[in-house]
Amino acid sequence: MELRLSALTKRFKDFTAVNGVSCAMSGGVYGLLGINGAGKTTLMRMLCTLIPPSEGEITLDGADIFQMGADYRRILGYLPQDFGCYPDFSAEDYLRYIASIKGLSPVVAHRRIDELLHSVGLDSARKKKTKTFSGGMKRRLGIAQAMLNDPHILILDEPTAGLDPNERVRFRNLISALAQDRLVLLSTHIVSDVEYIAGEIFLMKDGEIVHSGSVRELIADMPERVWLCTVPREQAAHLERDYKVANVRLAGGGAQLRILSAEPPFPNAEPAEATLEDVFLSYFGQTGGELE
Amino acid sequence: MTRFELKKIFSRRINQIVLLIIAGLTAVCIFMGLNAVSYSIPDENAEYGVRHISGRAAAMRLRADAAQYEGPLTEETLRRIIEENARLKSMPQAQSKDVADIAYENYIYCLTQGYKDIRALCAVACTGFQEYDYYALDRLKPEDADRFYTMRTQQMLEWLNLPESAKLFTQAEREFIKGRYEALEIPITYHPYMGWDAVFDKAPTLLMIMTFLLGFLLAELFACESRLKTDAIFYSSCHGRKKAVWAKVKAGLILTNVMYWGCMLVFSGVLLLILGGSGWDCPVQVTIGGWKSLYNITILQKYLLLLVCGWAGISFTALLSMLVSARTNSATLSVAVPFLLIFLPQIVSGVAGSSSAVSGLLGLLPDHLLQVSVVMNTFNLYTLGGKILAELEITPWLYLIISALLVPLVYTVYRRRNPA
Repeated sequence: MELRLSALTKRFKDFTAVNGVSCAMSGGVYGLLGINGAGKTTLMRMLCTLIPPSEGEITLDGADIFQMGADYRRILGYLPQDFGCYPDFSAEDYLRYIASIKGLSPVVAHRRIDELLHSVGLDSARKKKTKTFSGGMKRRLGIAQAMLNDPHILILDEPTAGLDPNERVRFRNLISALAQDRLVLLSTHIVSDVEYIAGEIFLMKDGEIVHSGSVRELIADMPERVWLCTVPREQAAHLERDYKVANVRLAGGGAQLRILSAEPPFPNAEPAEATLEDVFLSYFGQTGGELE
Repeated sequence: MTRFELKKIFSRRINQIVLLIIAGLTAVCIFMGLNAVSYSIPDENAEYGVRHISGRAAAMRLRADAAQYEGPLTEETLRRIIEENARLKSMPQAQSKDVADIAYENYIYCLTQGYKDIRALCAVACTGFQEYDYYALDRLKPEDADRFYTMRTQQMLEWLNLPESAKLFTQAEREFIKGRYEALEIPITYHPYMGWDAVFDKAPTLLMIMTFLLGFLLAELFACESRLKTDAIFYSSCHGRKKAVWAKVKAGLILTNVMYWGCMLVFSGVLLLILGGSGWDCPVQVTIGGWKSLYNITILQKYLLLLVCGWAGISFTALLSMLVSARTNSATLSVAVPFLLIFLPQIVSGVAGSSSAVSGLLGLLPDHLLQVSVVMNTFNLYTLGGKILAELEITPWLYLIISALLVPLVYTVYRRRNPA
């Protein structure tokens, strides 16, 4: 199975949300990492056939997904970034309904709902109305609906948004477990969401994929290196202005800075091992690009 | 899928309340229909005293009193009624100064209830073409009975020859109206029809309010997916662009039809069961509201026409609400559709007056389908392929066809939507 995006572009009047994106995905977990407004959601929505591209195409094993229509959506699971449930439906009713529009037979749906409610930890809340659910419970219900049809392609748009750290870890583990034998594309602006589970990460900025590869490859390809240096506190502000500073830790009368730079910022700066967070900072800047 | 779409509608508290209101409204219309049939009985404990009963008991008494006048309403029967009325009016008690006029009037009324339908008929038949005179019967002489039926056509022709009427109809249309009047089989048959009368009287109220309330129920059918942000999952599912959309359309149609036929059949069924269905084979011209009508149909046919017209009107309004809901994702706009369709034409007709063009145009609007009794007394004519047809011979079928065309349109509009 190969999902291929070829010169994919989406324009909304005079604004280009996605610009000439090309990439290919087969099995495993893929991360789409980018700041808010990078075009991730637009790309995801095209992958789910919700909006057609302005140019380019998306193919699954050579067939255009928009031409495939229901055949493509039959193997697709989608958890949107901002999604709702029917407030007066119970979790079980909600999943039954989604199962019906996904084309599952009642018998299969019944079994899958039991399995999924158990695996997302909503067994005890199956009869409760979804309007009583917390944000985390809704997210878990969301992943359950996305998994109902045992999809070959699972698309998760910012699945951990609004979750507390515990739920985020739990969710990550759940996605890892679900990733067996399928293609999972997970979009996020939170580095830790994809750092440990994604086999390949696409860095998206201003509607374009600026770089891609495994965590190791992205770190290796980073145009800057990471340096640790300790300076007096008053000097820290100056350095933050002149360099990309990944972290500042105050200790005693000084400050330890984690600086991204091609050259050592100080003669006594010590090189440090880079992380995906450093890569994110390197590509998207200290503000995460949001103020750029 | 359809079951879940209906569940989406009825799981909302507001919609449950609307449903209760519809059930209550039907009950109130039945109650009002039953109460509208009253019978006055002379009170033996008081001189010229009268007490009143209503509902089934009243209907049975009225039917018993009217039995002597049932059958073909011939000149002979009319003469009998005129004579009987004159006899009652000239009873010696009428000269009594001890009894208040109104009390005596009430007492006399008790004795005339057997021919109260004929009195009502004379109130429109034995006056000018567009006039009403409750006391017309009191002024008739036995020999006037011979002119009863000829007066109908004669008055209509006089009306057509008025200068203001001349602008409204072409010569062919005049001939058409005249032909319809002359085609009425006389003498017309009379049987008490109070059950049907109650149905025709209260049905427009039930239909109009039901149309509004149905708009509330249907408004969210399509708009809810966008409001609840469930549309992305809906459209990205296997059947999200076909069967699931069709399930929504089907749910809307099921809701509309179950509600319409359920309410109308319960409403009319209960009224006819309690008040009786006699008079079903009488021509509508035997009723006060049908005497001038150019529709030569029986009361049963009028009832069936009312059902078909109501069905066409409510189906069209419901589907238009669904279309607006599907197109705009706005429940508010969707709710406004029935309101605009029913009230706006009435406001326009009030402002625009009664010119032929305006009247003809307004006659084609769906609000008329909910008021069959009123429309049956209008003279809105249309020429189709050289053939002249009356309003109710076109509009129900026209709106059923439009409704049928709206079904695939609603489906197509919604399945092609891209979620925001």
